[in-house]
Amino acid sequence: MSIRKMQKLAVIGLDTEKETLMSQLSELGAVELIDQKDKLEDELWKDMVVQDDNLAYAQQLDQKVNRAQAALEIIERFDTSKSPLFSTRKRVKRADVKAMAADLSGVESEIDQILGYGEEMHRINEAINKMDADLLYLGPWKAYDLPMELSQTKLCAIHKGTFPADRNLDEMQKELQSQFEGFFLQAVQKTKECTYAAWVSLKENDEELLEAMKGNGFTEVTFGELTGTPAECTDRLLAALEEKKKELVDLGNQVGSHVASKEAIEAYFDIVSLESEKEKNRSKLLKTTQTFFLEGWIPEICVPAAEKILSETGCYYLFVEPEADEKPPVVLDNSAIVTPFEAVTEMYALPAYGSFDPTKIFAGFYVVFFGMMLSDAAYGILMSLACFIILKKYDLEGMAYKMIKMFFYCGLSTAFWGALFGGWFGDIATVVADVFFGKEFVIKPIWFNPIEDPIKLLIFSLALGVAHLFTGLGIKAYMDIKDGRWFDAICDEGFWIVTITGICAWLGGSMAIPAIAGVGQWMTIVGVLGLLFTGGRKRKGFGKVIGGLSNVYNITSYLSDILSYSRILALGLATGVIAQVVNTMGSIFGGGIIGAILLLCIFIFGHILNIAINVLGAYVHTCRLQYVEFFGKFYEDGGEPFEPMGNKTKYIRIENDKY
Amino acid sequence: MTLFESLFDGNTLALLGAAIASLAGIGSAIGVSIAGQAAAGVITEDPKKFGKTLVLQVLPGTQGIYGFVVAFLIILKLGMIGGGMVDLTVAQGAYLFAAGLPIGIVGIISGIQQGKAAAAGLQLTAKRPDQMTKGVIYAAMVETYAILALLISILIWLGTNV
Repeated sequence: MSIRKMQKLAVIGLDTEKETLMSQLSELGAVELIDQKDKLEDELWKDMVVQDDNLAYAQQLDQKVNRAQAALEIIERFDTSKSPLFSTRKRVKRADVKAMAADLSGVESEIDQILGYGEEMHRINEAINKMDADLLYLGPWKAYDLPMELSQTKLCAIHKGTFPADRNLDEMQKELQSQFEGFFLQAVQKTKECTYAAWVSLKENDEELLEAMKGNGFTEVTFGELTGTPAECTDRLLAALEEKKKELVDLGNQVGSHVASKEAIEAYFDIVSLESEKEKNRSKLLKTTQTFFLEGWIPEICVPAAEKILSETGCYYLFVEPEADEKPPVVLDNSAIVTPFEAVTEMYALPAYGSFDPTKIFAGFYVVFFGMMLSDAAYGILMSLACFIILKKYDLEGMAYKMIKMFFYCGLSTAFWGALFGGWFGDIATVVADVFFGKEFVIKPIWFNPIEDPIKLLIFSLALGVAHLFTGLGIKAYMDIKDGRWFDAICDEGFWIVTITGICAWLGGSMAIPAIAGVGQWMTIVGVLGLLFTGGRKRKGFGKVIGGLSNVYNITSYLSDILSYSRILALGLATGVIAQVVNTMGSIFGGGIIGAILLLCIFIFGHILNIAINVLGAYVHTCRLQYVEFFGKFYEDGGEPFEPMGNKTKYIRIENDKY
Repeated sequence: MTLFESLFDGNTLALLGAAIASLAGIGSAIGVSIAGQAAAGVITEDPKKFGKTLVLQVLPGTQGIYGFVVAFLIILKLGMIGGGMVDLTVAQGAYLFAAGLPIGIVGIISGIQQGKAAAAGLQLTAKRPDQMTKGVIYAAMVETYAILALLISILIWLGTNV
């Protein structure tokens, strides 16, 4: 079985050993602690123990993590180096991490400095925003040539403000001048929305005039702290703005000088995160005044290592097998060549603990289906090459590593099937030979060309599909038998295999090999009768009849399952035909240099498009065949992923040298 | 010869088939547009997701390409490209007309529907970017039927001897 066996670990120890033990288990990175909340309500436990925690300290650590995060974000803005295609975690030795963790003050002061710059930049940006707003505000007043703060002289009052755009100021001027002595109104700037204007009057008329003006839609404008004439003020602001922007650039340069310590801050981030995680995990511990208790899941292969730690700390410990009603977390365990295909399994859902991990069984089908769907040797070679380069260049891990490695294998398979079907960028060799050299040339397919004989490939695809389905049924039967349900295995899986094999032999026999037709016929009859009589075996009375009939009716779902594999042919043809269409379009322009250049352009663009469409199509539809047709027969999902403490780092990958 | 007969010879039928096949582009245009609108909504929240959303947006685009491929194949069989157009019998023309129907009709509907599924996948991507591949798979399920239609179109085309 390729789901790792888990053991349950229970530890009781002295409080004085707790810190050391937690640190060492976190370093081991193979224990997932179990929450003990229900024990607090258990009669047996509740008077003895209380929940352990150190939340205040954990919060303190979280704050540090957040500060490091903020500092990294600031650095990010000034990091001019190009970000890589794949982000990878840097490998760091455990000893180096410890050396670093011993003295974090250097990094911390650097983080403080960077955050200081960040705040300063924030302040400057605010000031710049205010200046920009002021400049905008002053814009329409440029032609006003009195100091803005001047609102009165000895005898006169001065008002500045706006009128609605539709007011005629000249008429207003004439009308009011006749009424009030010394009144003078001047428009400063007209815009679509309003007219900016200023007016002067004798102080004695001021109140009365203001009323009249408000009646005309006048709104007074104030300039607050802005002084001098608007033109002067604008110049001053622009100069100050320039100054601030320079300061900002200087600050940016200063932050830029810290880019080199990005890695150190990232490592700090992870070290403190791990510490915080450990502290948060303490709430899963129970304690008395002098002792503590913890439980956790640990993979069986890690037990010796854990045992060593536990015996060194002198705690009392126990490893037990999980009980039937317990759900240990799940981690898959496959050989190196199959591991990449775990990506497909994990994306669906992890299998339940104690059920079956089919990764190593479907990996072969996956590669074959993918290869047949993409089915162009040149595409396959390109794809494998690209994946190979990525794997060499980047130190990938986890899901990204698995996917790229998987596509590497799929590329090889594509090259293989492409060569069998004679697809090398479609029929580019034939087209080039014909257009440019006037010769007939075909790269001979090793097996046959599906475009010339699609039915052959259709039958082959469906046959592969039947094999795939039978494998799924076989796994289900294996699981039934393992649980001692022999009869179920015969009724639910055995009869289906007999029936479907029978139908295939019958159909195949009547078309090609008459000898097997009779056998097929009898197998079908036996199978269908078996299904009919056993389908309702778990029901009562009339239900037995209904169960049997509906069981036989299921034949339609098997039929649609099998026909579903025709997509292998469809996608394979799609790749081949689109590639040929691209080549034909390229050849329309005929021979010669211009023809060659146009052909090259269409060739590159068209085949890149074709690869993009069909790689995605092949990937998605191969997954679908696994998920719907294959997994549907037996898969039990619902496993929780195993998340041991001490593993969740973002930037660095800590390498243990001990284990 | 009546006008009807002179217009509707084998070649016209075949060309109509090509025209209908290329109508699959309608489905793709609408589907890509639906997905694109949803994608733009996701980007307003987080511009970094552009790459991810683009994959989902272009998914309904394949129907148009399949339609184009079938149309091109039919035109190729007619010999319109390269000059020497062949004279088809009415029966041959009708075969090629039939070849254009599956991808033309299924393409329109599956393109639109795939656009809707892709838009839902984009909502998923907005909230759970790590689950984006599942959104892609849901949307790609819709395409199954366009692929089957393409298969039938190509099989009819392959079976028509000119």
